[in-house]
Amino acid sequence: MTFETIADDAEAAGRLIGYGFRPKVLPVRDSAYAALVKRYAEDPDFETLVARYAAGMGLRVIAVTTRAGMVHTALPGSAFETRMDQYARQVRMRESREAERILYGITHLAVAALTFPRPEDLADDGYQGKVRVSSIDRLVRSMCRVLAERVAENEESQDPPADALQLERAWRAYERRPEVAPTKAGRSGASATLTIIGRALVHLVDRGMFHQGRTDSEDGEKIFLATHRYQVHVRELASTRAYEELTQLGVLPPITGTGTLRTTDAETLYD
Amino acid sequence: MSSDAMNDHGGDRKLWADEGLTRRLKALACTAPLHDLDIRKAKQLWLNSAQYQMAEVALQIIDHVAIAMDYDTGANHEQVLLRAAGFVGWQAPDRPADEHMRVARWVLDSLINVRDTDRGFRRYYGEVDGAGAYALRKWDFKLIEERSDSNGDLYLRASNEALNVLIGALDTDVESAQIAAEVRLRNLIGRGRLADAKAVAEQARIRTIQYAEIIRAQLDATSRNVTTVDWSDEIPELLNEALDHVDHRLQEESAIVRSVSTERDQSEDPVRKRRAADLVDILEDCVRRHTRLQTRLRGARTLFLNEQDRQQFSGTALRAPVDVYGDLLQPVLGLTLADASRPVRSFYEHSVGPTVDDQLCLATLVPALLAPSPERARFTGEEEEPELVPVVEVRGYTEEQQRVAESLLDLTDEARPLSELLEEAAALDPELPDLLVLLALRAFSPQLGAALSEGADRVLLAVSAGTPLDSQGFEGDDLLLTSAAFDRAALDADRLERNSGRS
Repeated sequence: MTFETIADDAEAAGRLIGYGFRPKVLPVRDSAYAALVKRYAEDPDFETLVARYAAGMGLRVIAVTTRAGMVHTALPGSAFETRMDQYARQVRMRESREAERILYGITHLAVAALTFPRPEDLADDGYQGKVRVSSIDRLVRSMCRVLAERVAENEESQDPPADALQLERAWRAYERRPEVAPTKAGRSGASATLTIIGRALVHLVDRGMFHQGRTDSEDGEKIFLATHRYQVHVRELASTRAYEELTQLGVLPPITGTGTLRTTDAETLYD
Repeated sequence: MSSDAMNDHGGDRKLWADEGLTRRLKALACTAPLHDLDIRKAKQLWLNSAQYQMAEVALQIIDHVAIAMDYDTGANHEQVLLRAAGFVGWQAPDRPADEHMRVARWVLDSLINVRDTDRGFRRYYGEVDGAGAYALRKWDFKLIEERSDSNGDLYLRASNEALNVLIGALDTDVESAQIAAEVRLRNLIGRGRLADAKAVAEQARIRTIQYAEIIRAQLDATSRNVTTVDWSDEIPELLNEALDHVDHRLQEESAIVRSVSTERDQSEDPVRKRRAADLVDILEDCVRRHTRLQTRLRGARTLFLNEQDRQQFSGTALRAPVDVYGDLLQPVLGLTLADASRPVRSFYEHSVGPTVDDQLCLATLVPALLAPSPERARFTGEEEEPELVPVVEVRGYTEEQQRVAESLLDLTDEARPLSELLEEAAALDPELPDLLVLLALRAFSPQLGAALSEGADRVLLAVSAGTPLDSQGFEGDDLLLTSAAFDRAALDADRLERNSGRS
């Protein structure tokens, strides 16, 4: 193998990784990209080269598919790492309070939960998730109500102590927020949950995780469609990482396969 | 201190930590914003406030919002203000109308508490915790909330706290309270006390609104994900109960409306007549609300079946390791803010992909900043001459070719394989095999009905010959072709017989 071919391969690998930073460019619309994706799938040496090249840059390749193109993520400590603080600046969070960030974080979780309402949907590559701002808000609020009812049954006070407000439950912080908070100028207020959700979705659209579909014919609300890239990210990475964090906090019961909300025996419905 | 003394002490405190006390403290707190209004009004420099009773205005507003609340809408902001301004006008008739409006707006804004991030109120109350220590706790509540409907229009809703303060029934079961109100209403009408009856009817309406809210919450959760809801027992039971309730109330209310209508139409006294008319209005509104709720309830089962079809009986049995809804969102919402921080951060940071920072390059940045903004041209550039592509003519088969093909396929009383016919056709005309294959394929599933109605006397039939075809560039199963004649006489006899059988 001559030096020239090695250099060519390195350039091709770099180009494929570079495509991963332009999530709106897709292999189906770019033949050069498609050729690189094909080469990645067929040539194991090239695959290794791309993986190592990416690792050197501080990236990990999650998937390279025709539908999503190159999907990679930042390794811990790399220059490409996404930080929530950056996001906070970007969406102009009014206050840098921790509670505000958690609300934004919950919103992102809720977006994913509604995009992939069942584990089957998350696993199914052909599934296309659709969400709207108002349905996400309703989802979280309905869950808040469930938790509120559970608390009411326990008859123990869940109001946070006045001197330790960070002990307030997350659902309460969300529930307390108004759904809309119109300002005098007629704009939606920054503190309202619908505003927070709208901003989160716009942010995801910017990053190629969603694209804006047609508006609903009945009520004219915008519908957002998840891209395959988002599915890969949520499935392969985000959900498991967040789950790990939760297990470290010790809040999750061991998975038994029964008893969770999502499992219902199909027979019981027809008995 | 001995351990006994400790226990006694703790026991005393336990007694003091009374749940009812906390409840009453919270109920008391709900009224605080109303008292506040009359205290704060003095500080409003634009207002000579002595004439205005702000708490009264506030109660009027809450009343109006609560009554306008519906299954999925609420009170219109402007209408509430107009009505409240009218009421303010009674308090100070000598003041200008725009001041009345301003007062009404100020009270409504204060009830929403627009100054607060959460647009709500908070109060602190003390409680003795499990360990026997006194601790101050924060309690948040709202009186009037702003919401937006599916069209994005804003509306107002009274919170549960406001509804409870308003009708003063903090711990009652909605169902039984409704029945109690019904009984009282009938009693009052029976004794002819229409003014009291109106008050009770209004109360009953507010309870109906509350009931609709509960059902709505349940249905919302149902439509989300079929497997998250217990459709084997719990929800059908709830729906049945709700339907029974609505059916029953509809009957009751219609009956009362009838009896009060008679009262309205026959009464001589104008005051009495008007009261009866008011009552009829309220009751008819109740009937409308119940009808709407009933429609929603009846559609619930269909909604479930449709969702079940979509979610349970389609697609693959694949399953992701983590259920975002049940395994992540729900536990996170149950955590304290301090604990929830790490999981949501982790989810966000991994779900949006890597971030690329802009690379600063002075050599391009400075010229870009200094460059004058481009002038917009009035005209677009010269129009390009479009390149025309010549139309390619699509040629069909000539009539001569059609005739030859049909004569080849005229196979009365004989059956020939397609391969043989193809070779014969190729010898006649190189384009003929294509046409022949098309005709033969159509004969594989002949349109008998169409042939009959066209008056044809026979039809070409094709069956698979069971041997492979490889002739004139065509591959596949070889076909055996033959023409079958229609037995018109038998067909007509058959039709006659069927017609006579029917009549």
